[in-house]
Amino acid sequence: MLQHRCIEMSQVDPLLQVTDLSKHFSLRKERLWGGEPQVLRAVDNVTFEIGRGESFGLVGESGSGKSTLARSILRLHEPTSGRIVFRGTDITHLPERDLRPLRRHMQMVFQDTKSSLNPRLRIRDIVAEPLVTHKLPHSAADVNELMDKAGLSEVFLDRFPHQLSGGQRQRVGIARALALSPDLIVADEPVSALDVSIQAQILNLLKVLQSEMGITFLLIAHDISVVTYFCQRVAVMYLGQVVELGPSREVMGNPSHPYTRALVSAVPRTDPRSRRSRIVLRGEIPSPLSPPTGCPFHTRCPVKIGPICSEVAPPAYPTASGGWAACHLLAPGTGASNSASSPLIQTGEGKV
Amino acid sequence: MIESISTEMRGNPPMIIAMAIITIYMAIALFAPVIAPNDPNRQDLRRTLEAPSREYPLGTDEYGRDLLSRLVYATRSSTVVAVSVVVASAVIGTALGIFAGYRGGFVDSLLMRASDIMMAFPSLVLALGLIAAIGPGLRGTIIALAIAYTPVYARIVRGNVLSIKEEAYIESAQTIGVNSTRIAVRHVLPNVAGPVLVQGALTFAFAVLSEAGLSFVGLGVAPPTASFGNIIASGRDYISTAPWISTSSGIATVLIVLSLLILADGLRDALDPYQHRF
Repeated sequence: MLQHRCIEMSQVDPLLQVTDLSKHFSLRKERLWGGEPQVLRAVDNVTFEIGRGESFGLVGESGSGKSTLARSILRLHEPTSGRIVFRGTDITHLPERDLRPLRRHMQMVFQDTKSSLNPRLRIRDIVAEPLVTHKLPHSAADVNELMDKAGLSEVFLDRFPHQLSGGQRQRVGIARALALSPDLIVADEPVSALDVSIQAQILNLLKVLQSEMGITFLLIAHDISVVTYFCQRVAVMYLGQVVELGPSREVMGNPSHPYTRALVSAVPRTDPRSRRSRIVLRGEIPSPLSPPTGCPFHTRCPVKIGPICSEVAPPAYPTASGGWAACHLLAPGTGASNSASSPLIQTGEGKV
Repeated sequence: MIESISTEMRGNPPMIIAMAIITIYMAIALFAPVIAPNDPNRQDLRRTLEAPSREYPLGTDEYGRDLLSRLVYATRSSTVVAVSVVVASAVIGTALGIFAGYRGGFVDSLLMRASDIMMAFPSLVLALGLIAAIGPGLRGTIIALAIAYTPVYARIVRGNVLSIKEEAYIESAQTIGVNSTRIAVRHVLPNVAGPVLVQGALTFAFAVLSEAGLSFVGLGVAPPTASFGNIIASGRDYISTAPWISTSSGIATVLIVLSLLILADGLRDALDPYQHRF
């Protein structure tokens, strides 16, 4: 995986560096006697870094390991192997006691707005909890200011979460995340549980916060258009691995990996005349309990070249967009295309 | 929580009546010396086994003691035992349940297997065995019953903690850096309060019944102190000549136990997450 690091866009000031991070869950044995304990490879050798002030997106279908990756970075899961460096400190195996002061600088916004707020606490207490926890001096005015930043009226302060709408609850979650003025906010599908009209509001709010407060974002979404709107760079995950990484506009406009192409082609278009054919992937995402050998995508890939796909794990090849993708089609000298110059994999659309 | 309970009560008249009866019992227990017309232990051997009259509204027992006053004091012993048992078993059981559920692993297995063993015995049988070890009397009864009812709380709370643990607000507290003791107290405990409250009302009923049972066989509250159980026991020999002794105490016991069960039922309906009305 060394190549990843070389190809990675060099960041002057990386806030977060993730190197070869894996998170495997061992499942309980099914039978009483015999039988190997099964290992679920939720995240497998993921490497990327996020620069200060950058917005980095993670996309992939459900079960691709995006959330597990995010939770491992925040140390809600113990990483199995690899390295996480945050603000220059290796936090991979830092004991919780030493990690606690660093937690101030990394906060999370959750997908499920109902579950992410304690139903027995008032909004005031929820928003103030980070300040209380870190023993920071705070007044009612500070809490009001946080509510204001998140675009919430102060009348909500004395209410309970169930008295608020989904969008309002997500704003409370954002206010809570902002309380400690973190460097990094990990937003795990922050809008996917919301109405479409509310989605745009919340995304715009996050965008304003990012530009005004210079917060670094790691945004997780299954909707690639949300990521393109919000992020400078994007990583596409499939079955626990990053298959393509690059500047989001370029990845969206000119995807290199066949899986990214499929994802991009699934985005609905506003112009009915531009009929780009849609790549429909067949079959299900394979089980992470027994991931395919070679390229993880070969079982569903519409442009599979041959045995090499199912035998050899593809290394990262540079793409025209300035990022990289892990696909044998991009190998220099492969008949299909030439990685250095032109957009890749132009063939294949008609095959599906 | 209080909102949903009051909503439930508005549409549940038996629950209101039950609450009224329980309140009256509590008041009687609390103000027993003021309410009782006579000294419950004053004997008058010239006036034994008297039928209810103006002077003794519920008659007298075999020693000529005022039965009404004895019932008032029996309410007091019964309440003292039940309240102590409920508080002790709920506090200890809830703490163990949160600890087991939140910690998981070996501690969890150990505590749960121990509670399985205790729950394998009917609670009254377990309490009898414990009293044999601790010694009879008010104190022994309270300790034995509290131990016997603790595993039920531990189980219920642990089950709830296992599901609460997966809620995102627990993860959120962890990312904020809240330590696990505070998470348990502030985020887990309030969310298991509902089931604990329901179980509290149930345990209260069982404790009243068990105390009466234990006193009936002579292992609970010892005479001459009045208790529902020992009044019934002493009236047993005169059931054909002076039926008011056993019957009045029996009715008193049934009334409070029934009220508590109706209350528990109403609380369950009010706090059941599956019929939550927001």
